[in-house]
Amino acid sequence: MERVEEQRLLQQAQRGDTDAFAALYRAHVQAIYRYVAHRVNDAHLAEDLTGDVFTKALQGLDRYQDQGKPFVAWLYRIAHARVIDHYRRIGRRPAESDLEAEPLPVIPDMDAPMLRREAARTLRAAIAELTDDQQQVIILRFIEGHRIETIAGLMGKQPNAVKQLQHRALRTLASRLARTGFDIESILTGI
Amino acid sequence: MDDSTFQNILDECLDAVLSGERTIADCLALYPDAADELQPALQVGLLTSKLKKPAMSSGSVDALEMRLRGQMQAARKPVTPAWYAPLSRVAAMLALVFLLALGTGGTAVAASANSLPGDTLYGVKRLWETIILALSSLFDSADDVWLHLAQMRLEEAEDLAEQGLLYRNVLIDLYESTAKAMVLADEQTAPQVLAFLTTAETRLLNLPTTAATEPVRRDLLMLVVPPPDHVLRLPAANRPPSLDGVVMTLTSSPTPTSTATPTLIPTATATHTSTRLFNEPQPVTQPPSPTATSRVPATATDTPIPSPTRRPTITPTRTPTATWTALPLPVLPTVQEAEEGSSSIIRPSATPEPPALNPTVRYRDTQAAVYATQTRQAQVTEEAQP
Repeated sequence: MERVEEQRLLQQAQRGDTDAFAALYRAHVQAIYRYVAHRVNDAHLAEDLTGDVFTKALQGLDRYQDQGKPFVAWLYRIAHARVIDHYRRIGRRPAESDLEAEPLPVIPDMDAPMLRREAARTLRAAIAELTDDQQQVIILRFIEGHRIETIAGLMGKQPNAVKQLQHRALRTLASRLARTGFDIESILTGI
Repeated sequence: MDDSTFQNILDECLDAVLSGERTIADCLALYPDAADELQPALQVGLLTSKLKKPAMSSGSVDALEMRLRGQMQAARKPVTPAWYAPLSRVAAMLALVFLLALGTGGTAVAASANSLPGDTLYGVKRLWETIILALSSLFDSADDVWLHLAQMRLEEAEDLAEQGLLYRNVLIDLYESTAKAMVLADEQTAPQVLAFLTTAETRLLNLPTTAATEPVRRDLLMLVVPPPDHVLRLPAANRPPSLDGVVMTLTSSPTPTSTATPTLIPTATATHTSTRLFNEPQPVTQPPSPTATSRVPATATDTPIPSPTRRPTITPTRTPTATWTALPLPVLPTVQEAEEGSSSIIRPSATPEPPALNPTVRYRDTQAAVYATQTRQAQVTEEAQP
């Protein structure tokens, strides 16, 4: 969505235009869902939390002020807060058992061989064990495909800080996969 | 190679690999010095990008949209008027009076009732609170109002946190109002303060925070930690120096009782017992300027009543017990009676004497008014004793 168009819809939504808010919702709901789904690794819970995110956004719409960042940056912040709140409520971080309880669908060509499916499962589990900021960077960078500068804007951080988070997160993930004995190179070759 | 340089190389290579401009092998050949660390990072990054991107089903998207549209329609209903907020009765009465006095300005106050920090009308809301606080002190109900404000600040913090808009000053305001509510709590509000602290701890634990707000949240958690065995410790930040080290024990439902221990002149024995237990004795103030001790529940308020006789020997004693005992107001003889010797007995009574011009009686009236303020309308049921 163009920035100008987004700003126009925001102003209309703040005046109570339901269609304008619905348009903003449609534009961003899948991105927010993907983010939440990767954070909680539970499709049903992800739907619930995504609903919470937009409900909170609706409740705070009157107070929202355009600070030069895209609207989705605010939605990500709400989603981030909701995920943290969820884990605080249940009193723990995701465990492997959670990841197996309601597994997310993996890429079909990775699904075919058992090894790739297992690698995908292990990778998702490893992502879920990263710090909150590292998870956010990994999801925005590799799932959403944003560049570092965009992620820095979305997270309200300096690009160098995001690069550092990215480096540490990838190092941790690589180490985790290596410990489980996966040959990432062969897995990538088969994709 | 330092971390910063490597991180730049890694990011450049990730951009190239993810976009398909280069292979991982190309990047490793381009930066052979960093190859050992670069290879696993690029491989994991590429593998992560291959994970399937989950999508919300169209049915769920439609259902959520309908729900949001319904919420948006419902949100158009008028906001709760400010005067409906659960203020104490006194504060609510004051609010109503002030609203009437404010005239058209009352509309803005009402509209600001549900505002949050950052809203245009939030300043009106805080101004309104300041006025209520100023007025409440006249009616000795500031404790009630501070507790209400603490509850309101917590709700605001939760709402802002849910919207990702929570900032440090909101929590600092919450700390201040909570501490004030604790410091000013009396027999009536102490159980409510304790209940608030208990729920506040849980709610604060669930409060999403950022690096900026987390330290304040930790301080708040230290402040509201549930008091073991109903022992409420005063917050250091709002604690008067005279109360250092004081720990008070609160009963959940204090039962005010009144006992009268009037004595024949020349000695008046004032006995004031409290539900609070004290670790340290408090200095007893002596007339003619008996100190109106703090309304903090922990304060042992020994309020000696000056004797109007020519030998005003007062021996205040303190007997901590499990009940709070209101001190009866003595009915002092008028100067004329004293001179005639017809009434040399101090008789407790709840009935105020008519205004008198005599300085001695006026002084007594002043003392009685101070006492009445301190005891907060405690019911005096004692009977006159010779």
